[in-house]
Amino acid sequence: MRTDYNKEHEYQRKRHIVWHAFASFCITPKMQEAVLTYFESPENALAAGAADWNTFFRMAEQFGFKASEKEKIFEVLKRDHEKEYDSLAEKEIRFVIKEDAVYPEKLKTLYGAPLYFYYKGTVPGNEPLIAIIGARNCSPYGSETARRLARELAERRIGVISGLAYGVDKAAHDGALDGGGPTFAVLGCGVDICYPKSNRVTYDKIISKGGGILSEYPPGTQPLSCFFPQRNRIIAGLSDGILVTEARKKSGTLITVSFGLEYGKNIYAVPGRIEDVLSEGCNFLIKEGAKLTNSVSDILEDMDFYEKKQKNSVQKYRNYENFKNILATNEKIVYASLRLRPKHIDEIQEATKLSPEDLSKALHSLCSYGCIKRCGQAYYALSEEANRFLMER
Amino acid sequence: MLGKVYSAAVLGIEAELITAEVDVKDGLPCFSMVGALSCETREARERVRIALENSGYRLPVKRITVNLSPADIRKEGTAFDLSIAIAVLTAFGYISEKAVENSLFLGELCLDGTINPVPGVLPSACLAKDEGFLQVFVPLENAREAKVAGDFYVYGVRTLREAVEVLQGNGELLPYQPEDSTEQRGLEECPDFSEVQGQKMAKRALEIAAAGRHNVLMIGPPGTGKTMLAKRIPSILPELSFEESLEISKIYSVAGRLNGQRLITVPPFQAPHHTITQSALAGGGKRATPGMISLAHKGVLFLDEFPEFHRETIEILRQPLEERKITVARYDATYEYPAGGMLVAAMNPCGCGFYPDRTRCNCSQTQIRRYLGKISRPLLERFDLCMEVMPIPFRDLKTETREESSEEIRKRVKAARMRQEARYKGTSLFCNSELSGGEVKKYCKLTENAKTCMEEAYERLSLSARSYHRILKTARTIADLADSERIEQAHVAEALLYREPDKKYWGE
Repeated sequence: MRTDYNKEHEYQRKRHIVWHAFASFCITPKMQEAVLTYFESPENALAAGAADWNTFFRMAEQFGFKASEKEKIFEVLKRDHEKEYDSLAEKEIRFVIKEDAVYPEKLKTLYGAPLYFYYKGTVPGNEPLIAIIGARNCSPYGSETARRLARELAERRIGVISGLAYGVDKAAHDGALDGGGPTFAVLGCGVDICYPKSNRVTYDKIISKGGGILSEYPPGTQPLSCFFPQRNRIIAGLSDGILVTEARKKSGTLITVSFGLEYGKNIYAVPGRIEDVLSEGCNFLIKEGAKLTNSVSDILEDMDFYEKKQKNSVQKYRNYENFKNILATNEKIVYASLRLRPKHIDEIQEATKLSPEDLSKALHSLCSYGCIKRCGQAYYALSEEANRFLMER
Repeated sequence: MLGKVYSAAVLGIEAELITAEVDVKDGLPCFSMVGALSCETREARERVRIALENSGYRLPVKRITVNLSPADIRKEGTAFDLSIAIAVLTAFGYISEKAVENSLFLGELCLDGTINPVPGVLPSACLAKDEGFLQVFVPLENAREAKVAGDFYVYGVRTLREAVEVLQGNGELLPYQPEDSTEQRGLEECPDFSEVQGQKMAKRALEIAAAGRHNVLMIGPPGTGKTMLAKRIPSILPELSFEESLEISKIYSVAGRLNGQRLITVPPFQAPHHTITQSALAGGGKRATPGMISLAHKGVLFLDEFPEFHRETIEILRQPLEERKITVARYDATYEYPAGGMLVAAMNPCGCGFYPDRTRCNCSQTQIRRYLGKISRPLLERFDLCMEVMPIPFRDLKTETREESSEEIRKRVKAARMRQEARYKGTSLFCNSELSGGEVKKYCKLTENAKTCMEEAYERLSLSARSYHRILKTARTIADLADSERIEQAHVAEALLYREPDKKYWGE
């Protein structure tokens, strides 16, 4: 029995080394397909001599491969693949191929699913996952809605998957982490690279809080714009529903959505005002048949068994009435005048008619509770972090 | 035969007494000049000789030597021409030595004997007053300026001949009498704050800045009235005292920018274009003239499109902003100019100018951060107040609500300044913005509520020690405006509103 296990393990290790080597020289799906068609398996490709490769490239050039790639491949083939594979473990990076048991069931059946991927932390299993995606240059409306819905999903133990980009993506991860749920990020670069760098805190938290960072690109791969649409198919594939909080008409978000439609996932969209450029994509999706989503229950309806099971544990956080009792009169007035869209202090003053002293006092204490946040220098908007304040009370 | 006549050289904004000595001897005819002269001063040789002949004074064939003493001060400019010409005439006996011993001469000669105006007359006239001269001869255009210095005879002369005739005792020219001084520009002529609709918080921020003479940074989309607001700051600054006015006028006189005005009586407003060079801003050039920062002394230095300025140009502002003076060193001398103006800067929030209005601004976070990053953190920390200006909604433009006039605001500013004066009596301090770390502790006493408020903010916003002090200084001014000796919680809360954008939120 023991030897069987060892044999099995040894075999798996060998397969991994081969696929890892394959991954280092076949980055684009086009290349992967061409190599696998010609050599039939990665083992053959690695074992092939220069003559075979030359024939391959003569054929491949018709499909638009450049001769410069040949040099790169020869260079990669010469490397010590075993050693490289072992070095992954030192960096706490794991590697999964399609035939492994941990490879997510959800991806297995999809057309164009990744042949392998790298990850840090854990791999999403069969539990429900909602993808929350949207614009990078979003308004507080988009990011705070993403944060709120992600937190509420996480509180119901529904995982959130996104792309760890600026804006909506980051807010979704942060919200899910606040709610205590696992959250997964699929990157368009190597898993060891945190892009953008400023998301480092979120990146570390995702791993430490039981989530995972995934990527089909070998560690060390720098982010290139052509990788991002590709990784979107993994986000779409792993999710059970895709929620868009804010997107322009022409947006990378819509690529994920179209992958999701192809894979038969539910599409949810947060509506926006008609004149908002940033909500044009969402409104368009709704028009096309996406589900209009303004609260987490719109998503839960479609997974009804969850709603019933978890209902009670969540109720206590949603008590806004309780929250309003804590605030002083002026604070209530200011709080009521604010929205997710940032408002200039002059506008707030005009709406509340408070004196500068009272207004500044109220703004200061609301900021310190975390109910509102300062955007830029003199703009204020509601913040989703208020709930954390409530929980502490 | 020896002639001795007085003139003055301007070094920085102070003048030094110069004696023009002329010696006439037998020998090979020549006209030579000594005494550390720059080339335009040395050229006086030709101007003086020809102007004298064209004015009808024949010079005998003699050896003429001119010395400008003390000979170790470098003389620049053309203001010595008149004194040299008069000294030559004294040496030849046209004028008696007695007639010139109590006079000081300034002016540039033309070849036909007319006299051109020169810069730096005011400091020279002040020197004449201090040294006890009884009369001063200056070009007619500079007479107004010279008369300001004190109660002595000022002769505004048009030609060399006119000056000589006065000295010979047979001239018709009378000492200059200033016309009525009512034509002087007053604060009333400044653009007024009542012309700005809306922008309440920005106005309030500027009021606080004026009261404590803090530096302000205004952030806002194009066309929101940042420049309009800045131009109106001089109208809410307290009126200048005579001494202040004299000091500023001296700077303008040295820079040759007095333009026939008597005195600068309105706090100056200088708005250099963003392509300005370092020496034009700080002072310098061949003759080390005062720069924009000195011309804005006691007034406002407004830098529009702040990030567009060359980085090195802005960075040189750091030291003068702190010390309120600037030192310009040249190989022959070191000049010190005052630089005690308020710095007011304006900038867009991002490259396109519309952040945080995301429907119009599509700058990425990196771009926005980079735009703000053009201003170094140390420089950003020189601004005690920062204010984001909002685009004006149409209804504000249309409504004709009566806005507060500058005069009403000025009254409050003056009261706050007076509180500061009383508090800092007997110290070298002048206003709240000048407080250093230790002095902040001494003068900014917080109530218990304010203390907890400040502590909480310090923790939550992870403020630096420097920002902490700046907020306290601002709170001190706000308390002064509210006529309160202790700083209350509301004052601290308001001061916190005006801190710079947090690093964390800028571009989130």
